[in-house]
Amino acid sequence: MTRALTGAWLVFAVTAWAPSVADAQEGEGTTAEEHDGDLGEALRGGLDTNVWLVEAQLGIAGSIVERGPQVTESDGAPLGVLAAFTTGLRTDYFVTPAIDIAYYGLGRSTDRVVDPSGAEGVIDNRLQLATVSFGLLVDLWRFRIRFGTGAFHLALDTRTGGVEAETSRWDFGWLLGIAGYFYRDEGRQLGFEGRVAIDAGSDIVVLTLGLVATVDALSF
Amino acid sequence: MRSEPAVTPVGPSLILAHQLLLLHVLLVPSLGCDGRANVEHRTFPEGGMLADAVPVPQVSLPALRGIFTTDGELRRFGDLVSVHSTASGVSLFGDEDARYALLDAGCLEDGSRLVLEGEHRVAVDVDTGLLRFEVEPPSLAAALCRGDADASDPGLHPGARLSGVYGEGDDLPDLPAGASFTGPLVPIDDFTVASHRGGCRTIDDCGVSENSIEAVVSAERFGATSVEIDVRFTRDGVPVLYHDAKLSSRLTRGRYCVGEIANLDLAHLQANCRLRFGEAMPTLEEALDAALGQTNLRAVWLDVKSDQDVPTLVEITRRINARAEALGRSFRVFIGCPSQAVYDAFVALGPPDVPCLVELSLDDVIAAGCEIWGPRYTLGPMAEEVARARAAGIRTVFWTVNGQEFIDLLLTDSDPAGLLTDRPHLVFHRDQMLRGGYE
Repeated sequence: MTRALTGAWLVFAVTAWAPSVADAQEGEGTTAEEHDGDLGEALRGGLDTNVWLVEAQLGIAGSIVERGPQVTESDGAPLGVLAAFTTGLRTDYFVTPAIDIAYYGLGRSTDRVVDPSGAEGVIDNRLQLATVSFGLLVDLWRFRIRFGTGAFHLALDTRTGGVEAETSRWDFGWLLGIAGYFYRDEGRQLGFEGRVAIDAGSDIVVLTLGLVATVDALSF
Repeated sequence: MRSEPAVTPVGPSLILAHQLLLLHVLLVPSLGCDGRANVEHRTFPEGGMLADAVPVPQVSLPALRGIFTTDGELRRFGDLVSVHSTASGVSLFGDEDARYALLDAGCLEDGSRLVLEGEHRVAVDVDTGLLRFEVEPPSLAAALCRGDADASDPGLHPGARLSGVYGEGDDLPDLPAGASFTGPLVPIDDFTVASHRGGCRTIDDCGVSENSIEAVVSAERFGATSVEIDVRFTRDGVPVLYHDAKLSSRLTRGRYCVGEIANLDLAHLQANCRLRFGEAMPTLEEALDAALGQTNLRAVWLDVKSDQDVPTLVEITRRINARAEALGRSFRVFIGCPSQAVYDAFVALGPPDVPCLVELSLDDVIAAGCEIWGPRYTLGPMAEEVARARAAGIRTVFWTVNGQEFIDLLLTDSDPAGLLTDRPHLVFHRDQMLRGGYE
């Protein structure tokens, strides 16, 4: 799957990027006018400057997993908080290269589990994922598609029988998302985004739903 | 003034449509299959005819072994199949699409009928189905059910036959299929069919997870005489069977089954993780106990992952081999040295007092005083080197050979002492075909 995603990413990036690069080579910077209707008064004033997108998101996250050991009793939740920050450079077209930094809480619980000998034991777990990904945002009317790739850091804190352990792993991962905006005004947007984050090393798939606020801002 | 872009004008919507189409084509098939075989294993409803059967005396099952000529739908296995038996049942191995069948045996009607029932599988794909045979003639079936058959007989007598029906997918078997005894199996005492990762890779889905006790115990049904297993150490120093340094859903299940094995105690692993098919992750000692006590396997090859693990594994190997000797079992655990670091650590312990296998050069095997050389099959047959090893009393076992063309090439060109494989049934059958003179 990783190979296919890599191929898809390359095709997507090259075809999306080509016109913008060509423009830049002809001496064209990204101008505010080309974002007509979405920017504030200052931007419509014809400033020949770059426009940056800044975005914050808050939501819930959970991972798709197959059940492991038999749990006879559980206190906690298999879900957690999603907190994400994105910034990107608006281009002449509807494609915005962006960087995304996100935290995903993937569960925190105290479980009574049956071990291989059939005995019951109690284990506390906390699983978290932090990601830094680079990619593209593709705007289509009131919707936006996100496609990114980057470094994923998965961390587990666990404790059983009074013994604690921490373990983590860095992996390559993929980020896909689709957002729909219910409010747009003067370069400000508010909507919901659903994400799929795929940790390619551990094969964990994370699903999220969050409220996303986006603002277009000037660079200096 | 704005100049024209130096590219062919293409509308944004066309670009996007192009991108989405490519994404769809590239992503959808991969995401759907997840890289793992989606095998549906089949069983007869309500236990089939064997639900009311009595077990076949174990002394009788070896008498079912042999090379059989196929007819009817069983020709899908190829013109000839190897019929193998273990304490658990009877297996059929063919070379057409590396097909195999695992059958249970039972006696019906006061021991006058001997029935074999089970699943067949295309190993190179995910197709499965059901098979049912009866042993003919009835006089032979009755003798086998009574336990009167000569177990030392290398195969059934001429005229013996497996007669039955073949089914595909969910269908109950109703297509005629059969096999007639053609000749005995070639003795396999001097040839090693070593099963990779304990028996069956998880991704191949034989119904058990790789590096599980269940895989080790079932390896013989696939024709293996030995198994290779991967050893990792937990934080509290317990060797467990697992291939990778890090846990992943490729091999395990459990919401909190993540991270590095070396950072977790055995208790954390056992509380948070199960292998893909639901088995517990076994400790090395549990796996070796099972291999010694529940199978007739001749050897276990430990794939040692770190030089730091060598002293502990040598100690465990020494202890298990002493137990096997005390039990009178022809069973040995080998320390496998796959890397220079592990090799150096092993050699540093002094002259070996445990069996060992080296995957480096033949000269390294000789220098270390080990019994087995384990070269990669991609190096080719290396007939001269294999002959030199043989002359030095060293057995050559190539790894990890799965394709029939490579299996045949190695068996014919270099005559090794064995092959490590993910398809032991295919190696078993090809060895029979080639050494038995059927091809």
